[in-house]
Amino acid sequence: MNIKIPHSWLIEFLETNARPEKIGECLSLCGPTVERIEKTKDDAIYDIEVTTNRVDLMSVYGIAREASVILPQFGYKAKLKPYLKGQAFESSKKLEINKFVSDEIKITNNVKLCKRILAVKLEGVNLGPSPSWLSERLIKVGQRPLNNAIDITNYVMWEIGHPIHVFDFDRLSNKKIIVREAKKGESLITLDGVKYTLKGGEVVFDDGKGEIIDLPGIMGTANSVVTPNTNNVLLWIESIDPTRIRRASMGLGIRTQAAILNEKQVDPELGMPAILRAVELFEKIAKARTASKLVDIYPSPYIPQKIKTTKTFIDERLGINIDKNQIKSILSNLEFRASWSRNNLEVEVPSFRAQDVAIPEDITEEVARIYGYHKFPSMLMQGAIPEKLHDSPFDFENKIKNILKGWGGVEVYTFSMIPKESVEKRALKLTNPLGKDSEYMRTSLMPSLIEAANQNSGEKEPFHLFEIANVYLPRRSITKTGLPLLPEEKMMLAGIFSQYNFRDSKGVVELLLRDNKIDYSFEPLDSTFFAPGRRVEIRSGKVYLGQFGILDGEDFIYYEFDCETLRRVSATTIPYKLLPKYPPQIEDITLVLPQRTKVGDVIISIKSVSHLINEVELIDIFKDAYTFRIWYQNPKKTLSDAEVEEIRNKVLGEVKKKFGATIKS
Amino acid sequence: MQEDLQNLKNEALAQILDAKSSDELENLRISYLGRNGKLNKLTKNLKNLKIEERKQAGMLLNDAKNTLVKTISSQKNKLKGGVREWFDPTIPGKKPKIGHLHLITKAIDEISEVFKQIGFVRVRYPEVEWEWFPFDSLNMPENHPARDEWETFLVEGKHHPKYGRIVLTPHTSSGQVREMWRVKKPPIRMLNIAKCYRRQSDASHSPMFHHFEGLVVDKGITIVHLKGTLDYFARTFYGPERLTRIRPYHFQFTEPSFEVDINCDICLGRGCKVCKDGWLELGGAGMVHPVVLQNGGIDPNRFTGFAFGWGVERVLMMKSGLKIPDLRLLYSSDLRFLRQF
Repeated sequence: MNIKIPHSWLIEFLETNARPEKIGECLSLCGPTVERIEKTKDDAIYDIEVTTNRVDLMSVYGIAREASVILPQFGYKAKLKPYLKGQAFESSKKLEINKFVSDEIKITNNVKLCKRILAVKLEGVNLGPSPSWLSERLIKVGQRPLNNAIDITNYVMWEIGHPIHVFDFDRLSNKKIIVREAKKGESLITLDGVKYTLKGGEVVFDDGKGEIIDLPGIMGTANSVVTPNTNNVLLWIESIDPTRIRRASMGLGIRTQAAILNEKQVDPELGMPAILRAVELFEKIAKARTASKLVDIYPSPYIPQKIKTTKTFIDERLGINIDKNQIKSILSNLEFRASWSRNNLEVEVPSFRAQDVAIPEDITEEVARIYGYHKFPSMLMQGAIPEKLHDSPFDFENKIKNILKGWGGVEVYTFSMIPKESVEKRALKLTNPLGKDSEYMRTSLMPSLIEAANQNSGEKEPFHLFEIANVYLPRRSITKTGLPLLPEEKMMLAGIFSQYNFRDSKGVVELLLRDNKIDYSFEPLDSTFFAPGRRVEIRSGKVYLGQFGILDGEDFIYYEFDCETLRRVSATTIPYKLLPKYPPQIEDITLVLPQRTKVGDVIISIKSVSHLINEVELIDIFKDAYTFRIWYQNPKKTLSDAEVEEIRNKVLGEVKKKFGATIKS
Repeated sequence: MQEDLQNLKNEALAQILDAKSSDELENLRISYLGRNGKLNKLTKNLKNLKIEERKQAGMLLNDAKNTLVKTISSQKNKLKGGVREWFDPTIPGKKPKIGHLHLITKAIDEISEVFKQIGFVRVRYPEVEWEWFPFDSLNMPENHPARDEWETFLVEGKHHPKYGRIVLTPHTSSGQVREMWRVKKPPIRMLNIAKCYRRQSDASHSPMFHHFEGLVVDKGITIVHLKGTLDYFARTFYGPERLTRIRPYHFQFTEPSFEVDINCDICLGRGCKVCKDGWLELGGAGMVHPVVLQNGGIDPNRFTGFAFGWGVERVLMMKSGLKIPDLRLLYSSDLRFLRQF
């Protein structure tokens, strides 16, 4: 969350010789990040990012307090003006604190829901616009001024950091406020006129007759807030359980500044200075008069929590040695009470840091950041190096990518989320997708790659896109223990060829398999999405590796493999084969094949004729004439022409018999 | 010697210009420029000269060689039949089709390489994950406001009684406890690189992106080691003059937590128009929270650790000054884009 703090407002609480730029730099190094400083003609406005654990910094005073500790570390003078400590306001003298009940209004608290309530009645409020000094400050912090009553509450929230509410006293017709949980189905109308039906469990105020008259800590309701006719008001502060605020604010979708602060546990100790400051401003600006005692229902005030740690603990985490006195002085400056007894440190946490600082590591952080991380040395760790993952897939995936790249493939990264139309089987559905086009998790890379290829329909040249990515397969089964399982994430390799001919693209896939020393075979088998008779399944022995073929109704050729299976069947070490002592005889034979002959089968049967045929390759096609190159080799001797002829004749006899093939004369 | 050389050069030039056939030229080339040619013989004499003369003579010798080579080749082209030997070395080469790896792949490779050198083990954990891992295990219980920072995608399906709903992991920190479970006993030096998802889509956010997460757990790991590792990364990945600084921040799963900046590549930290104060934000880091170590089955009294998790796309953009106007372009498949890298 960000907060804007005008420099002019800050220096009301901070006496310093540091310029705004320097304040910004120093705060960023040791405290909250000052994202930018906006210069206006008479002021500088800090835009500060406050992390969720530091709600104590969400005010002008909070930032002044932090700066007063940080700036001296950089050699600047800085002193926090003791505004909240003891120097109470004039008005408080007149207010007699009544711990429980006011004569004017009967309050019934529920301590489980609300830690503290402060209330005071003011009469004769002169409603109107705020003076310019006040409204200008609100504008600078990004708050729209409305009227003086509302503006005062906002002003105090920005200055001190505690949200504060103002009721129209006369509209609280029953003069009762009961703190209770909402029941499911109850409804209320917020001050901006929106009706909400409650889910149950929200903290609400009841007027004693069952009507909800406030959604405390989040937003006022239309039936009790100040109107243009307001004359008397009830100033009000409460400390509702932050978890309940959080749940209600998120559940109803009401994200006011008050809710954003309250859900992070605003320090209840701030309540008193906040309400006194508001009273002071009401008297000054709206000419109001206090008309009741100040009610303070606060059954269990803050008792400082103690954290114990040791010098060794701190040293072991920092990696440097900070002097005991310096540790103590840093903590004291931050308003922690710290005391050493030998090596042991005991720290009392101030109320405004109670929800943030709880364990010794937190103390370590406070010391280290104020000391300055920028002063720490920088050194690589020593110690044992962990063992490498034994069956790591990463090198294999990289190898595949590089092989495909080498043969002209272009790698793409497409989104894992796809629209419903692209879902072919049971797929994971997102509960809160960004749009209709990304509602499901893909179970195949095919739709994404078709889309990728279509995106390049303007390309004149052939192209080949590929991707290695997970697909997400829901698991139907539940384990024996009855527990649900995460979906299977399967790493797939897929590619698509556009304007490639069948042989060229198949060659790329075959080279990929060969380069991984995979023993593979193709089996023609039809399947959905592929043109009939134009798809092959690729296997290694009996293991299914993947598929390759021409897509039905598209001009694309597509292939895909399961990466892990591919990795498993690929040989990582290759045994050395003795170099042949005798040269092979190589010859080209051109066969005329009848129509509809499967060349793959022809090659297989030529090879099977003799173990002396080492290799057969198709090297040329001209009309119905297919030229094969045949390697004859006997490892034990050089084959004679007569021996080769004998094998050749067997080959010719075999292909004639099986396929009706004849040698081209 | 200089005189000899001059004479030899003139004699050769005269013969070359007089030559009538390419055979004749070839013989002349061998006799003057060949291994045992006349010029080489002179070269051998160089060593007899005084040092100060040697340099001068050497230059003349080279000059003579060059002149003869040029004259022979121009004479060859002038001769009848020279056309047959015409050779044009300026003709463009025939290029094989060239492929491209994606920018993200290249960045991941480089990042892995950097951390591999200092003993990090690369791993990968589920993208579709129980919410316990990216949140509860990291000290962010249900309804914690810190969860808002990650706009998390939820997946329909059965809830796990212990691990809650199924989500798309919004960061790679979800792998921290999983890695502790895998390794069981430190040392841990993990590099987890994976796809992550968040409900945001604009010019600087893509709903799918990549994170890399470093996690180190061992005895005596301190802030000093975290700084050492960050600086090592900055120097190796970005260049020897780059360094990092850490500033206070807050994450539920680290204590202390840091925001990491790197010095600007243009001004190296002095401050300039691009970076304003000399530093650019790189990402988050911190010392592993004791609760997280406990969730991972590691005793926080004996072991400490640090972690950092950053966007691959972000460190990539900052490296190359790519200036890609819209991050989502990385996930389009436009060949005009992909072929640039």
